[in-house]
Amino acid sequence: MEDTTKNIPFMAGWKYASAPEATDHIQIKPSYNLFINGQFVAPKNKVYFETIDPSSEEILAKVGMADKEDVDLAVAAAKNAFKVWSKIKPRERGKYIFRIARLIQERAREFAVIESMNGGKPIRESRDIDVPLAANHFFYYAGWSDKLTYAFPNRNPVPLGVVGQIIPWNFPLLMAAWKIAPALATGNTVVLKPAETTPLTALKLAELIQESGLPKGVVNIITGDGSTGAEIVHHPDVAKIAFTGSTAVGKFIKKATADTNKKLSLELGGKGANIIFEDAALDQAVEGIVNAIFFNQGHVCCAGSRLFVQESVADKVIQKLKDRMSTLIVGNPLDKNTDIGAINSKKQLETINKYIALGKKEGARIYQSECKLPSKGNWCAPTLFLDVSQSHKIVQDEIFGPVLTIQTFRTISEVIEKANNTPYGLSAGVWTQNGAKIFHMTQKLNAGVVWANTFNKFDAASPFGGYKESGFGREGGLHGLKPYLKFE
Amino acid sequence: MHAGADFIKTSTGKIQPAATLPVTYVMLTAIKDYYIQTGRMIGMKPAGGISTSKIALQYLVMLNEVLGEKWMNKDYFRFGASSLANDILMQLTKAKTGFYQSDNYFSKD
Repeated sequence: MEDTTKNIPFMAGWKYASAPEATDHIQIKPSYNLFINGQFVAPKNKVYFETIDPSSEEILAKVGMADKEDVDLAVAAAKNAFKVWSKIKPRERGKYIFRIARLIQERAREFAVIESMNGGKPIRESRDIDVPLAANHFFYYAGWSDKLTYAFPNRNPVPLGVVGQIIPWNFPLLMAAWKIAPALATGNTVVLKPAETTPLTALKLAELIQESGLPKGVVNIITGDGSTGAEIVHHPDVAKIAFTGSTAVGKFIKKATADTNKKLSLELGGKGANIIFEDAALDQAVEGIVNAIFFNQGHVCCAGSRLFVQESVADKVIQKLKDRMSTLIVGNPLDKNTDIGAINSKKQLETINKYIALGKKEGARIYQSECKLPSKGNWCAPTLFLDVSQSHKIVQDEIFGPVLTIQTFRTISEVIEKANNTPYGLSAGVWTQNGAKIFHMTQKLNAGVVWANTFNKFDAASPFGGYKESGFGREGGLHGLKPYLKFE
Repeated sequence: MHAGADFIKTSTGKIQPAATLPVTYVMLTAIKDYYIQTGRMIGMKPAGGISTSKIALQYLVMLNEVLGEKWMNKDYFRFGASSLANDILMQLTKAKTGFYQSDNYFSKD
């Protein structure tokens, strides 16, 4: 039975039966209005747009398209609510936030299923990561509500007023939690706009907030496209803009608010370096590589999309990675076996495919795992690019999909130089068994987060944010309170 | 393996804890590394603590994903678990009759 062929993939023999999460307990209305001043109200222009399931292209619901008039109403409601909310006892504020956290926990399954239906991410991730972390953020910031003077001793922290929050489509509910929780804890009121393609969990959150009895107008959630976001950004009564999304839009917001008094925090793109040293535990590192780039189909701003492997172990790591990729299951997001779900939108799939074509044209060697992709919906096989250098476009640009570029290095100084040689600076990962090397690397890498022997780990208590074109301001932890306060 | 072993196994199973999923995972990856290095296939036998069909299935899924099809047979993977056989018999009886039997109906050796 001896087989002397080396490097054959360790093909899995079993195919697993599908194990879809039930959807019969989910209630999605045929159409959703805007959540303004504690009520769901129709958009003034009566325009609605469809939101789909990217894995089947099935229409899930219609949602309102807010224009200038609706934004005015939402901001006015928030401004009015600020008078009450900013004066309410901080301890009472905390109770409201606790209640929201508990309600999310109670309805976790419903949120997880809708998140996977509307966004395309595997149920395993929405169930185990997105929704629990969202509740985690509300719990965490509920605790800070009445402790702000301890967080910033002798500085008299006061809230800003109405904050405009614009969030992306990759973690729709989680990003809403990251934005709303600290804003409420610090006594601000909110106008939040979820992304155009993924409005449903934010609207479900609006229903939950209505149920929680939070005073009217403290949180307003309005749906729409980029033009709605622009109206929020330009609104004179908005004291602060918090944005998570692309660097291009981040630059637009920065310009648009340049001659105003608006406070700004931006969490933008990234091109994270994931660095594997020869003394790392390689099997764990391979799991880390998979988690860094294929988590949420690579739609992660802090994804480890540039892999650097020390030359002495490069062949070994790449072979192990290919073997591991052969076991990844791409398909129905609601199937509990699924590792990689659907690409969030046609437009994003086109962007990813454009970069894959560009990578081939630039002369990089492509490797894609052999997996059957469903015929309908937006799908992309996990992809590696080998033989690339810093000058390749696919190494420089954020692709925001399951596409990994692999480079090798010889010395620490070489890898530090290459890892930092990017306009971005959001995340990085270091894999080594040598503790001193980890601390050396964390000091030298220009990244907001550096993970050691792990990747894509989040916690409400841990600040998150970027350097350079990855943005500024921190979310999470004590640091995450600061962008929502001024000091008198 | 480098000394010529054809099979590797966890402890005898007489001492607890014996085989666990993490330990077996490490051993399977060692078999994989050795195969990549030498092209020689080594068998694996986790023993002790694998007492139910459900746990056995978890091991088989791990084997399936780490080493794959070529190892999924009696020549390369075995369970050392005497109590597992009874549980399998019990599950087979349940599948046939729709009822679980008392373990008194299955001989313990």
